[in-house]
Parts: sequence; C-alpha cells; structure tokens
Amino acid sequence: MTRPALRWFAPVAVAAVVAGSATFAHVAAAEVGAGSLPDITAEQLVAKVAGAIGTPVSGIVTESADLGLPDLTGIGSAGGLSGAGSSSLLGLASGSNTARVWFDGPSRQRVALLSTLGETDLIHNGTELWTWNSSDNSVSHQTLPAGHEADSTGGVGDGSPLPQALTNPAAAAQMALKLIGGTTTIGVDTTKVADHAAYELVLTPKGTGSLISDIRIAVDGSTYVPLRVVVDSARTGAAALTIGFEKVSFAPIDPAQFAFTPPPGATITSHDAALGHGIPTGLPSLAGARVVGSGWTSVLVARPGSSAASGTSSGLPGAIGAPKTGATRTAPGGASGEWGALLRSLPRISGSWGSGRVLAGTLFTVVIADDGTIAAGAATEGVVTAALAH
Amino acid sequence: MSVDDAVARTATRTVPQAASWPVTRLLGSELALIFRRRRNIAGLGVLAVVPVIIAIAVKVALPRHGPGGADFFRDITGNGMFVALAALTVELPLFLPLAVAAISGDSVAGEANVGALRNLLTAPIGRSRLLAVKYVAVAIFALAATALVAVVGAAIGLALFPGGTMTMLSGEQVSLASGLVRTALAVGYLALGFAALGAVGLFISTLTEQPIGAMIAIVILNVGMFIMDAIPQLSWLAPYLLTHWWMSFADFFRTPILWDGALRGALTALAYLAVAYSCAWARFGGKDVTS
Repeated sequence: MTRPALRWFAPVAVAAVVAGSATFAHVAAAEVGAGSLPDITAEQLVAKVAGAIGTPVSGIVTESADLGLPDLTGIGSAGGLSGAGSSSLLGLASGSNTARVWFDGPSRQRVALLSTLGETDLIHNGTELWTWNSSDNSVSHQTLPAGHEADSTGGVGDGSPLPQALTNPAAAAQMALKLIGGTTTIGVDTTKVADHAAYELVLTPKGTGSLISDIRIAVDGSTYVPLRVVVDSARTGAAALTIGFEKVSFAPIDPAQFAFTPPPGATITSHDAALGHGIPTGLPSLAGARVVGSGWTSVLVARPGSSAASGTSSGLPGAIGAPKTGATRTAPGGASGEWGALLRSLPRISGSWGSGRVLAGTLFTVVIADDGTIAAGAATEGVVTAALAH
Repeated sequence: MSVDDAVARTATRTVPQAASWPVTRLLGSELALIFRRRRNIAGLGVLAVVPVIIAIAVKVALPRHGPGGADFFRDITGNGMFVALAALTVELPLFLPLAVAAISGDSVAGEANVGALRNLLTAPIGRSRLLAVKYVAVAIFALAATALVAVVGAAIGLALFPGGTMTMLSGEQVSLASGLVRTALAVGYLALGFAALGAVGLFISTLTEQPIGAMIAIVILNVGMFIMDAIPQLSWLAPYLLTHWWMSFADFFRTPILWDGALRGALTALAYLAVAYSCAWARFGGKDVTS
C-alpha cells in the first residue's frame, strides 16, 4: 500500500463502531421508560403496589451502600453474626453486592448472594428455610411453623431479616412506606429501572434535622412491583443506599428453583425455629429503650444498667456486626478487643448532655456517651445529642 | 533468539516461489512452528503440571479438609472434575496469559528478529492473509493451552478422586455430563479472553523486532489490568478491562447458569480483539520490512 497512514482509518473505524454500539445500547436502554406512563397519584400507586404482592419476580439485584461506617470486616471475622452466611451478610453494609433473586409470593423465595468464586443462598420454601454457603460447604436448615408467612416481612428466622429487607425491593418499600405521615412530602415521578418504565415514589422529609434527604421507590409501570429503593443522604447529597433490579422478569418461576437438597459432604446444622424468632430484629425491639422525638428525626436512646443492657448487647451494636460477647456490655469505657478499638477510633464530642463518641454515618448518627448511654437516629448530630440531653 | 531457532525458521520457511501458496499450508507450518518449538513444549508442560500438583497436594492433605480453602479447591475431594477448575483459577491471572504473551509477542517480532520476515513476505499470499494466519495460530494456541489445563486437570482429578455428580456453587448437584459441558463452556469462554489478549499481543508484536520486549509489554498490560481492577477508586474502569471478566467463568457453575457476566465478558473480549487486530493490520500492512 502506497499510503500506509490511510490504513489507520480501519482501527479507528472499528474502535468507533465498538464504542458507538456500546453507547447506543446504553442510550437505547435509557430511551425506554420515562414519559410513556399515564399520570397516577401517590395513593393509587401505593395501593397498586400492595395489590401486586404475590407477583412472581426474579432477576438480578444489585445493592450498593455508602453508609459511612468504619471498616467492620475485621470485627465480622472475629465475632461473626448469627449462623451461616453471616460474613457475606456483613458485606452488605458497605461496598456493592449482587444477588440473584427469585420471589414467588410470600411462601417461596430464594436469594443467592454472588461472590467471585462462591455463593451464599437463602432458600425459603413453605415451611423449609435453608441457607447454603459455598465457601465453607455449610448448610443450615430450619423448619418454620405453618402460617408463619403472615409475619414473613418482619424477618423469617435465623435472625437474618437483613437479606430480605436489603435484597427484596418489595420488603424494603413496605418498610419505607411505614414512615409516611404528616412529616413527609410525597411525590410521584417517572424513571427507568432494568429497562422497565417505572413510577418513582419520592418521599421527602418536611422538617429539618434529618440525614435522609429523600427516599425514592421505583415501581414497575405495568406490574406495580417495586424495582428499586434509593435512600439519598442529606450529609453527602448522594445516594447512600441503593437496592434495585439490574435485570428483572415477571415470568412464572420454576418451582424447582425453591427445592433444595443439601449436597453430599456438606456440614448441616439444624436450628430450632423458636430460636430464630427470639433474636431482636431491629431497634424497635430494644427492651427498656425510649424514643425521643417523632417522625424522621426520632432518636432512640438506650441506657445500660436497666433491662436495656441486654438490648445493647444484642441489639444495636449487633445490628452492625459486633460480636455478641462481654466486650459490648462494658462499652465504652471498659471496652476491649476490636469493638473497643473501633469505639476509641471514633471522634470525641461533648456538650451540655455530657461527653462521648460519635459515629457519623451518611444516613444516621450514633452517639455513645461516656456513661454508656447510646443514642441513635437518622438525624444530625445536633438532634441526636439534644435527645440525649432530653 | 537462538541460532537453532533461526535455522529452524529458515528451514521451515524455505518459501517456494510457486504460483500457489495455500493459506492452510501456511497455517499448518505456523502451527508446527509453535507446537514443535522446544521452549513452547516446555511452557505447555508447565501449564499441565499445575493441575497435577494441585491434585496430588489435595490428595496428600486430604485429612486437613475444612473451611477456608478457595472454593474449587475444597470441592476437589468431592469430585475430581474440580481439579480442572482449581487449575484454571490458579493459572488464569499469570500462567495462561504469559503463555499467550510468549506466542503472540513472538508472532511477528520473532520473524523480524531472525530476519525471516522479509523472506516470508515473498510468499504470494499478501500481508493481510499472512497476518490472519499468524493470528489464527495464536488463537488456536490460546484454546489449546486452556483446554490442556482443563483436560489434564479432569484426567488426574478423576483418577485420584471420585467422579459422579458435581456440586455447583449454588449448592445443587448436576450430572457429570452437565459438569463436562459447563467445563467446556468455561474453557471456550476463557480461551476467547486469552485470544483477545493474543490480538493485543499480535499488535504489539508488529511494533517491534524484539520478541522479548513484546512479550514483556503484554504481560505488563495483563498484570496492569488486574491491578487496576483491584483498586476500588478505579471501579468505574473495571467493566472495560479485559481481565475483569475472566473470573466470570465460575458463573457457568451456578444453577441455573448465570449468563450475564460471561456475555459481557465475551463482548468485551470481542471488542478488544477487533480493535487490536485492526491496529495490527494497519501497522503490519504499512510497515517497512527491512529484516
């Protein structure tokens, strides 16, 4: 060829075609959706969502969190949460995760948390509850009492409502909707999730002091299945928590997907069903704790020494992954081990209420006073310390 | 480049000035050059030894079976087929890319280095077809090297450990036949990734007359992509890295098979392949060949 430089048009053209088709696929996907949905009021939308419970949903859910927490991975490996699969569940608090999910009404669900060369599965099929962890070849099995589905959204056994709430947009949306009251501005927008045109319910706190700037719940425009929940932080101005489908299907699900037989060679542990339900599942179940304020800026205050002491050991710190050992009971002054080291790494603050340490996340603030009193809320430091003084 | 090699090359490549020089014959000669060269046979030997070492080590250490091992390693005691997957996992970051780098880096630069390229270009098939033959040989090598690891792994695994049903990452059992099909898919998928790396290697090989330099550049590129993939602050870049998708071969061992990652990985590999190969074509076609 006499003019070699001309040949370089070929790779440029190929690169342009590659980049162009990738961009086109992206843009074409973005074109779907917004604008094509008829108007709907928030009330109608919520009702439609409630009516859509039971629609089979399967697909790939991604979760990404920027909660502003200190690195908890070391603590997780030292103490662990309850039962199999906990190390993966702890990972949900930071970074991003991918799960394959199959939801077939209240009685059959399967969630498979994917890791590079492994998988943690949670399979609920009628009265059977299985967990499978490929990294240590372990299976846990639990037989649930019949009729347990009624409270399934509150957490089915094994002390782990976490995967349900964090990977099932429906459950997460229901939890978020409970917050609606006179304190919230509700709007409906449209968006697009996983190539599906979707409505987006936008909940915005009316007052000031909340760390949540808004909660956005995307709902599929034709099936009214919640597809994505985004919680935006007022502190960072960005999404602090996003759980949503990356790919979704509403086709009927093969029941075989919910049948689980432990593979040979697996370590199988059986749990008593009652045990699973006895574990505190969240802040409201803390015994002896009181709530100061209301709505978006309500703050939970728990004091040690009373019956709340047991609450602190298995409730709040446990919820973010602390070992359930004596170390948490003596917090913060005599705290030892990794939990103590973590506490001491937190910045000190003081005020008319006393002094202590503060964990300032993107969505919540936790203040641990020197006398051991713990105050936590999805509110600014000022609001939380004011609740301590209250 | 040893004198032996130079002699071997010129010996194999005494180009007849006949009217026809079938492409298939040239490809045959290229493959013979790759697979008969002693250093390449030694390299393939190293690739094949890894699954043997893994299988024997696990067999000897059998009582120490417990949690903590990498997933495919732990499964070996249950089914010998997992030796193949453990070996692929181990060789995927460096050994296999290194082998592909050696072959693709040598592809054009090696000929130029020993002065055989000018001779080769006298063959009446044109530079474009010569380059295509060179690349097809590299791609065949990538597939052969990957398949070698899997086949040796499966053979030694099934010889030392039980066969039968395989436990997938999802905890479900599939038949050995299904396991073999999944392994074949994984091999094909990985080979495509390595072939894409080989295309990049071919391009780099057209830039220099030093095969060692080309090889080092390809290895650095490969390791560099792994490093960038591991830096959290560069996570936005990760989906565009060729190597980012290689571990998705494990998705063939979930039930049901998770195609999304492998599909994205295959498309990424094809994009790298197309751009790199067209760059190699542009460079090689317009290159002044003086040696």
